[in-house]
Amino acid sequence: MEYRTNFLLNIFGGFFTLVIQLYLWSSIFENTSSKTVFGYTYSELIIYTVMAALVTNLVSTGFERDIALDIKDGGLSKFLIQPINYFKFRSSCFLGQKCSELLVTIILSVFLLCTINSVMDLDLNIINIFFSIIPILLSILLNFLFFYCISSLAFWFEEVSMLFWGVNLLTLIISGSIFPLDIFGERLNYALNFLPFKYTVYFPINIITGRLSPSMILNGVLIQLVWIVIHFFLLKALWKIGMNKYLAVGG
Amino acid sequence: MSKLINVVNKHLIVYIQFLKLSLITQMEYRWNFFIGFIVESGFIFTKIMYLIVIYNLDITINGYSPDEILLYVGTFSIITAFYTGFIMINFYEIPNNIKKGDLDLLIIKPVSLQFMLTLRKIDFSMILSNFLGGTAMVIMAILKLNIDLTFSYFLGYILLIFLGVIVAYTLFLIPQLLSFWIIETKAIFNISDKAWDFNTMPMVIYTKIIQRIGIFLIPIFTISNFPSMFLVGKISNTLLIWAYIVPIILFVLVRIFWNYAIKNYSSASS
Repeated sequence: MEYRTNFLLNIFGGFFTLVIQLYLWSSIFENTSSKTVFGYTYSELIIYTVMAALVTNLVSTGFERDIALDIKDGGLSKFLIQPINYFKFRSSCFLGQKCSELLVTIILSVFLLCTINSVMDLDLNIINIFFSIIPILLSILLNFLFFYCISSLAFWFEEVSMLFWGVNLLTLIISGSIFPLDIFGERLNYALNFLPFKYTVYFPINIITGRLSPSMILNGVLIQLVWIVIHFFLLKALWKIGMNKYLAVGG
Repeated sequence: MSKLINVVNKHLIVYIQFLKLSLITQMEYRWNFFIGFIVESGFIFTKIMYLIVIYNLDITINGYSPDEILLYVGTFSIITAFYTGFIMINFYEIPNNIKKGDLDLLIIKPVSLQFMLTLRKIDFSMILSNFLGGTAMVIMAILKLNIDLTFSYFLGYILLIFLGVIVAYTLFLIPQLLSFWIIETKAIFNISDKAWDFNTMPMVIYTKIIQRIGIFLIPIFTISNFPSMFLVGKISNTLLIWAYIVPIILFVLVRIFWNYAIKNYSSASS
């Protein structure tokens, strides 16, 4: 329950940012003669802004701190003798938590999009929304694995909370959570194709806005899968090395 | 009158000690200071992203050119530096002080309790990053806009920033005082923290009604809009007078509310 209030609070806090961005885009479109901005129509940008706020919250993790604490205080030790390994424990906690959040996110997005739709006409396509479901689920998994890798840094560093803040902030910026990545210009956006972050927020949301063709969606999903596999092995390796160090310290 | 000067003097001397103490404590953990600086700079970058949008589009929003918006964002960063580093850092601890009864110790000190509770700590890493970033933006904007910065204009700009900081202090202290009644105030803190971001962009991006509300009713826009409007000559006389009145009204309100709230304080043990 503690996490749930936190989740709702984050959404509520994010609501302010959402209002600012919606007003910004509206005033930009009022002051320009062109029909598109950064290649987006007004309707696409509004959908992007609303959904980015919600999906960012959905894929966000926040368990890094708990893991770091377990590593530092030795909470990890009890898992060594229990019949469930630590990764399984953390991932089931995470998935359980995400199930309820998924439900809230769906309700909220339906509510928000319908409300905005009644004020202005949004170009929403049900099929696109349907297509985005699997990529969003994969995004949750990808982000989970990425931050699980990051949390292993606690094996090597004493004070990690600030470091986690920094990583969180950086991923927010380059995953497209704050603004669509197109604002950085074509070259930088192209460069971000080779990093996993784009595929956690920017990619699934642009399926909803309808800017991606079916083949591009398929391509993106494949890249997501590749990154998931890479992160999975990276995580195994990092934790294996880390655990050796942990045992050395504890024993 | 001389009594007033005495009181002010006393608080100034104490405040200088607070400054020294905070600096010494933070230099003890230099590495933390450095990381704090980096992270805070990251936050500035999220604000700069708004500027990237505006500059890449090269668009004039309701009469505000990109350079003028740069001037605004820079000014807002400077005010944020003062607010977060000198003020907000103390707001974090108000609920705890009340909950645990630490207020007992502060109440018996021979200086103002409000002063002790809301201005004791100073975080230099927050001040430094926001202040440097903001000043750089302001200088860049002034050069780009070809503003002929006379001494009197400079003084007026600084004064309006100072008034903005006072508005920020009083306006954001009011919700914090609710912790005299409510124990769990994390939500209040989170929400008022986010409300600060309403000033990320100049108020002209909002509709007229919201602007009016934000200036006169809940004067959140008065925190950071006036200094840059003054520099580019876009402030009306009414607003300029309002800029001087708001801090006074709010300060009186906070004092009344504070005195009312403090009566509600019961120590933790009793």
